[in-house]
Amino acid sequence: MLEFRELRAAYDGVETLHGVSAHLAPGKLTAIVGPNGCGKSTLMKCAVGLMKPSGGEILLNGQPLSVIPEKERARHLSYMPQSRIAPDISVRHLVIHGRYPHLKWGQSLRREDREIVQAAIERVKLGALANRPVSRLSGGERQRAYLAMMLAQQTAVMLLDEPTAYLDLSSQFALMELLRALCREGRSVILVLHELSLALEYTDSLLLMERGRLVAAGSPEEVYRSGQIQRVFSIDVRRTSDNKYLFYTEKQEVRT
Amino acid sequence: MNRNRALLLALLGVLLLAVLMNLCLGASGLSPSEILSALGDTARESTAARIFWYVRLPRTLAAILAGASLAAAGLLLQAVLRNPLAAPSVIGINSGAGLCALICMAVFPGLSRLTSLAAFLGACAAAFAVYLLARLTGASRATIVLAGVAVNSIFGACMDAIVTLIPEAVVSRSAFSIGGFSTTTMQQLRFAAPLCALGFLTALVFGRELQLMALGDDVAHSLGLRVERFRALFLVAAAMLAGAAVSFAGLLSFVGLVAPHMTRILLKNDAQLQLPIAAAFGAALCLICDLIARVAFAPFELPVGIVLSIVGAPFFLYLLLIRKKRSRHDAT
Repeated sequence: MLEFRELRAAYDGVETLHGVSAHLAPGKLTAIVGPNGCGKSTLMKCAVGLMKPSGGEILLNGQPLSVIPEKERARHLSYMPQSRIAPDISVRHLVIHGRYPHLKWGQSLRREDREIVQAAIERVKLGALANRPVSRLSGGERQRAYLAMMLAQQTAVMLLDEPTAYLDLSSQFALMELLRALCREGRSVILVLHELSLALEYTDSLLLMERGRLVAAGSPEEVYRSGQIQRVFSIDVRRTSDNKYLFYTEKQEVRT
Repeated sequence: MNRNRALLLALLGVLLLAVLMNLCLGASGLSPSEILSALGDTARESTAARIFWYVRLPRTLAAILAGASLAAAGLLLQAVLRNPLAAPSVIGINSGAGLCALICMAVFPGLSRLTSLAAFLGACAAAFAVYLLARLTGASRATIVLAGVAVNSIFGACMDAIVTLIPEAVVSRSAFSIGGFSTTTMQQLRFAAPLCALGFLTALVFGRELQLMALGDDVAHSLGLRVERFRALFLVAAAMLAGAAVSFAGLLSFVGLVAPHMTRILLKNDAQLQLPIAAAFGAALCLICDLIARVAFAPFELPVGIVLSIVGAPFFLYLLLIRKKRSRHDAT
């Protein structure tokens, strides 16, 4: 599906990714975690083609990403950036844009496209707000509107850069549940997360990054057992008997 | 009929009324029946026919073409640069067009057909200069406006120098720098109209892509749009529209800012109607302001650019204030 091979990337000649290799299997919810500036978002930008790698390669369904035409790539891979514009268009109109890669130039929306758009809006529970301008929605609702657009894109791989930022706790949990449900349908969802607790409890696999390198990869259990999380974040992590994680710093519990 | 189509029809009604008033009112009034007989007077023998064909018609057509073109250019620029303050007059595109048009008029006074082309090239150069400057420095709203202030100042100084050294380059210095339609001829409009048509056609044909651009580079790219290619295309289209308008109307301000914003305020949830409504609004705005400029202090006449500035400058300040409030709201 999506694979990074010895991926390198640089900003103004300064390398920020130093040979990252990973294979993202279908039907899995994968979180990329790591301290600020470790290269998580850079990895995302390379994966969606927003940034040209300085070395290595990215394979999408076994094909180098660089040779896949833009629209074809967008039929297989969708992306939600960290910062998004709140346009003055309705939620429905925004979600319709998700069908762009599936339409030929000048082609109008087909009945099938309209059904897909409606289903995407219902899926994120924005049916009642479908005609409201995105600019008048709350942060959580905007987030869901963009997610509906990604759903309308109908891609097998979904990349989300810090989708839980600015969301309250219940919205964070709801989002993670939705993403997990999407994975059960066979999609591959990869997200950059800052909330370690969400990453450990909700995802199928973790990629732990530090200074542009992948330092641990595997199931949350495996990454937890490797002890790398504790080292990279300089915190202590304990797992409780009911599979919850507790985070400590200098012997003080900071988050559960 | 939905609300948006009703808005378009209402706007077209206002436009039609404004056209009729512009044709009828002025230093010498023409009645509708005189206009009808002037239309049939192809030899242009009567005084009414001469006023109609040589004064009122070119002026009215100029107001429609300039207003619609500058409004469409503003709409394109605001989407492409994702900046609500981006308008051809604010970010220096009009000045670039004006400078090249003036150079053309000063160097090749007999070749008026080249003026539109020169204005287009000047508008292109200014558009890409501002875009590159903004891209290098982060493309924030303030940067684009400040880059426009700098570009406007440089080009403005060059234009002043040309007009001072070669006063015969333009019929009226103030008409050109403030903007107006009193000296526009049908010949100028014939050369500018194809450029305007091409600019409009580009914006209409690639309307869907224009809407994607307004979502930001990252989202547009993730949807499969070739962002840089379309940005260049829309900048060229905006330069065509603004350059063509400047070549016959001079440096009109605020139309490209006010019309797209009023469209967004009045039009709800219909991105496809944005361009026609903005164009109709821009045309109506120019016609009404030109009418005010002609009749407010009759028999004296103000350049239409002054009236547009009186309407546009407070609107510009209003936009700054509501955007500030909105960004505060978004941050919370």
